[in-house]
Amino acid sequence: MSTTLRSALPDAELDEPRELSTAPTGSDRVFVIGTRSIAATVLVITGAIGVFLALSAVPTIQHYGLGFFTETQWQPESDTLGIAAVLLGTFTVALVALLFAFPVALLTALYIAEYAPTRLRPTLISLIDLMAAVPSIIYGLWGFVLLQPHASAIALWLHQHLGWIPFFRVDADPDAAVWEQTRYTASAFIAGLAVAMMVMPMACAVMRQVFSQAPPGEREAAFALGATHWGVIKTVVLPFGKGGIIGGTMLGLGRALGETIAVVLIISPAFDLKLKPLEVGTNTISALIAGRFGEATSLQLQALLTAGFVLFVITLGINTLAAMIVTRSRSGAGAEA
Amino acid sequence: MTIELEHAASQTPVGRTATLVRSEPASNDVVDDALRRQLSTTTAEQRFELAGCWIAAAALSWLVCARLMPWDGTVVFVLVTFVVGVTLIAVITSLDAGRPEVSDRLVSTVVHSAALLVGVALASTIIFVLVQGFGGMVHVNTWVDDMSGVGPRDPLDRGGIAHAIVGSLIEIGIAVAVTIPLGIGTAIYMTEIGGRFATIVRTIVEAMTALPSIVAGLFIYTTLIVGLGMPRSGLAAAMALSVMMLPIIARASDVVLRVVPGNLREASLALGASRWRTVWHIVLPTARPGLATAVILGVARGIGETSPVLLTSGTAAFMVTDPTDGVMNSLPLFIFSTVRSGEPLYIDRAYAAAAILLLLVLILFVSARLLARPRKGSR
Amino acid sequence: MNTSAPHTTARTRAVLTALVALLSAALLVMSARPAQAVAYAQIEGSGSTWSEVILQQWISDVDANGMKVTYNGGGSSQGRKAFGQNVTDFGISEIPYQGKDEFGAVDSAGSREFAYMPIIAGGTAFTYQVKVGGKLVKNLRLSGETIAKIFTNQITNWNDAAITKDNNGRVLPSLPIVPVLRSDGSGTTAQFTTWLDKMFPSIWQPFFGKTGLTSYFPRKGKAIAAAGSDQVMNTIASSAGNGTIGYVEYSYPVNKKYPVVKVLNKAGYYVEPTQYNVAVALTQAKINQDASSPQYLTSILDGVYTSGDKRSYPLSSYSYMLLPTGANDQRMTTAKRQTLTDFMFYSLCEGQSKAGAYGYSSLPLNLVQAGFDQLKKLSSADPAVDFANRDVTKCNNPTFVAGDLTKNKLAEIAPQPAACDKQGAGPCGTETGTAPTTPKPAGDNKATATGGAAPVAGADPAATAPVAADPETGVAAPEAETIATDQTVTAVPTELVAGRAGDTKVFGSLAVIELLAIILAPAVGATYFKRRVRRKLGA
Repeated sequence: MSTTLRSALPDAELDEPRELSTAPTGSDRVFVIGTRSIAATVLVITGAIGVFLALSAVPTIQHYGLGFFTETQWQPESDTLGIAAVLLGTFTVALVALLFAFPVALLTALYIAEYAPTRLRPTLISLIDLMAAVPSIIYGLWGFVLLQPHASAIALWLHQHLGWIPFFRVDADPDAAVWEQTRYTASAFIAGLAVAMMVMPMACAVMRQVFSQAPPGEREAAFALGATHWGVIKTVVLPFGKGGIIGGTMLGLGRALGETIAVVLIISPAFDLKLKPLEVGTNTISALIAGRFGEATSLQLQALLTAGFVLFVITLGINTLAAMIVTRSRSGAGAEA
Repeated sequence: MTIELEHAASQTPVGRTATLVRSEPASNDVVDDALRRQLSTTTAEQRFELAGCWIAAAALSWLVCARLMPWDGTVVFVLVTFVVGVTLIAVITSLDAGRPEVSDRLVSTVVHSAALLVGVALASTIIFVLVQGFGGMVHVNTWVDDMSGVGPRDPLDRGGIAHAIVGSLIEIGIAVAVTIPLGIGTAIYMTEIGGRFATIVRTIVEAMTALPSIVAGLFIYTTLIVGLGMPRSGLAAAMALSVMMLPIIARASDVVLRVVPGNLREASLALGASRWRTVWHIVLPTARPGLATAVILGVARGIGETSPVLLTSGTAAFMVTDPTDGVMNSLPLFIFSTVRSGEPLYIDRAYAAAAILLLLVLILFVSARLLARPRKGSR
Repeated sequence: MNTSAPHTTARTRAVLTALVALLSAALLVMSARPAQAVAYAQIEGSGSTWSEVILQQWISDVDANGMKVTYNGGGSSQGRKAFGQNVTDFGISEIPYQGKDEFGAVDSAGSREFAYMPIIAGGTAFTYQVKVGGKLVKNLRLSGETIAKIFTNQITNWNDAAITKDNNGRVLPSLPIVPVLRSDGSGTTAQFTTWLDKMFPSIWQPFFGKTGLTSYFPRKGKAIAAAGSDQVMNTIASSAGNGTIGYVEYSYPVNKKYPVVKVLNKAGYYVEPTQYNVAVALTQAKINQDASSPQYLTSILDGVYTSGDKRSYPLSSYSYMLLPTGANDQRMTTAKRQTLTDFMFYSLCEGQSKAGAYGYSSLPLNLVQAGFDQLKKLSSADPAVDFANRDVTKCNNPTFVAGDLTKNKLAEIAPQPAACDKQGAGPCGTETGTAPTTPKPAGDNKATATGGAAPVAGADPAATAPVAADPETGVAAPEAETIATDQTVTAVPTELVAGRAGDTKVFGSLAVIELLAIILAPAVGATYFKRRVRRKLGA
């Protein structure tokens, strides 16, 4: 009798690993290639725009030098082009818009998330989204026709009482018997108010989403410890929502910087380097493009594209910062704008 | 006071020993009114205080504005009422409550006022546009005629904005036809296939959502109209709109598709479906309400954008249905060009167009909300 | 996956299909248009807002014949640029291409072949809003030098001595002047600055910093800018526009029923840019008659500014169309050339009869004839264009004198200015900005009262009004001026002292604080004492 060792079994094959392939085959391959080409097309289209904008900066800087960023006048006839005044004007309008939109958005978001009756909450959320969907020309109409007389009266009041601060100064006599209404209309202040109407719902939606995600356990714990409603908000909701607040505000700022039509309807174009939003005359990059694109030679078109590129880069920077702050905060990545 | 447990006794079957157990009253119990716990957050006294404070504030404010100080105008009146009202509420509350309640009341007042302000602003915008535009909207010719041959002095029963409505619809139609496949396709690639290339695409697409709409219009103007000699037309405007809408729709669809639960996909793959079938039969139908919402909101945004259209499509007074045949008109552009003309009848037409635009956006918005509602029976 | 899903999706699908069907049906209905008899194509033009009013009227008129024309008023600079860049089919500009200037800026049509064709004449008017006692002043008159000083920020208030002198002693109230300029590249600005440069170089050139004209008026000081003539008019006419003055073509204030400044001409009379006065002035324009020059038919207006006729308005000028005459023009097709030909035939012929009522002035016959010859170049470039049966002399043009190509009927029948329009007399009480279409005989002015708040009705000029004292300050009210009976009665505005509101504010604030203190003191006091008691108890 003989015993055969396992190792000597005939027909024992060496253990070879199985071919594992994750490459798609058949219809999947078509699917992957199809979607990849679509994504590549979109990448090319959107990337081309960015590249085109960046490339148009080259001949502009070559021709006008870095003085392009410090020159205030935009005189195509004498070939003096610069965006210093326009950039400052853009920021002035955005600053005024944020000054009004931020507190209102914060308080409205608090109202919807905390104070509103539960049955009304979905309606109110829809109303805020509707407010964000209303076209900007309608807000421009509203600001131009309805708001302007009242806002210029408010500007006069601000000038009369706070005129000692340079920010609120206007080049008119605040105590004149008949006030010079021309100097208080068509200003960055009124344009900023119209833009605030557009920025507010965007910021409010983000903030509300963040506030409604505040951890219920912590809220209830605060209530149980005897805090009032405001105490709960102050200690739980607001710290939790800090990222959303900042992120929402910055998103609104991005929108405010790029707003065109309301600004074009309201302002009187002026190329002054001034931080006086109550005074007549201002200009923003988007209003500059909208007003001057028709009479631009090809070099001036490049200059306008460069101005647009500067605006795009600023907006992109703010959006990226906002996204980073929102995702890194406690509120997490759930708060998508 | 003890609560009678009659029901326990009555339910005891015959023969069984009844045990009296303390338990909560049942819902069909009759409980004394005095025992009912007050669950609403405001007492009658608080409501009276609130009403009284605001009435007093209004009266004081009238006194201040109309009799004592040289202030006139509704805005000042409202502001002074608010300030005085808040002061009064603070003082009244502090009469019999400590600092935390006072600050709670104050914050509550401020928050409610801000919400009211927003409501008033939104209502004033919508009512203003609808009321001003009503005079134009009631005429049938506003909806079916165009402005060819109509002068600035012609009354509202001549001429109309049909050409602007048709122009808007054509331009947004072309833009949607271009953006939807590209946008959703990109989103599918980014979520389903992923990988390094997808990350690059996602970064670029998210970056391009920051593109201001006027720059999109200027891009099309420089490349297509000046560069390639394409005439200013509905097609150019549609291209500008697509350039603006594409990153927005791609990103919104991406967000919606990412929310689809992974286990649905895995279950489908485990059952032997190919990736293509998974996407087509599982992922897309699940995400359909969200995708529809994203698309409709993108469309609502595109219809209302004036700046890309301003640079690429002119303002024609007549009906143009061929998007390649030269200058077209659209609703926002019509509003923009007529409201600045200074002619009172033209301005009335502008408001009618604004009202129609608002209604269009409202309809789109409501249908987006209806589509986004979860279907019966789905999770 | 969901069994209940199919009927909801089927329902939504049905609703969506119905919506789409309805939408396409609506589209079809709305876009149904009768077929054209002649082959016309849509043509697109842009440029000047100066001539936009009459141009839009002509566009509206030819629409009934099937010609579809779009015009976008973006300023003359934009018109010239867009034409040169092949973005439009035609352009309208007040000034010809400037070529390459000393700053290196190039203003040319590039490689596009074109010709200038005059389309209409008119005057650049100065419209303003000055309210005295709540009523609009309608009969202001200014000399050219005063206007130059106003727009160069040397005269800043309406009560300036120069303005009073121009108005023969009539003082306006103290009101800051706000000049309204054009922010876009404007042919109106170019016409205005050409006149300033030629007539008042010592005032204009230091302000501008260089010599010559510009399409972009430099905005300095209190001047505000607006984009386009219509926006300038809106700014001036708005409720916040008290004290503004701007320059636009005469048709804009005529349209808005707004007053216009009467400008002093060389003969010493203050005149408005009516169609007659413009026609008279433009008889002195030097038209380039060299058919081989690219500047053929453009005009030199130096003679117009200094015309010695009593009726002539100094700032009269023409407006030109840029015609694409190249046979290989990138944009033009036969149908487009036909549309342009027929459109301009109408405008140069029948359309001129509307000019006067709209605030322009019709072209004289010799210019119409020359314009036609330019238009013929379109058909010579493209033989398929039908140019038959177009006889200029049969047109209904108010400037035509039967049989004489060189005479201008409007200039001949133009009425002489009234005696009160002479320098040193007047001012006339008549309204301005009315664009008369019939030549009224001179002297037929109704003396109307303006600025009505003064308590000097038709009182006996010999009697003096009782001296009233201002109740608050005890100062005697100034005596109202009494003027000769055939002149107008004007009020003498009184000035309010600035800053008097400060007195009421201080006392008002004190009263408010006192009132609030009275109301809140009991509550605050009660709170304070309660807290004190509570603290004592708690301690």
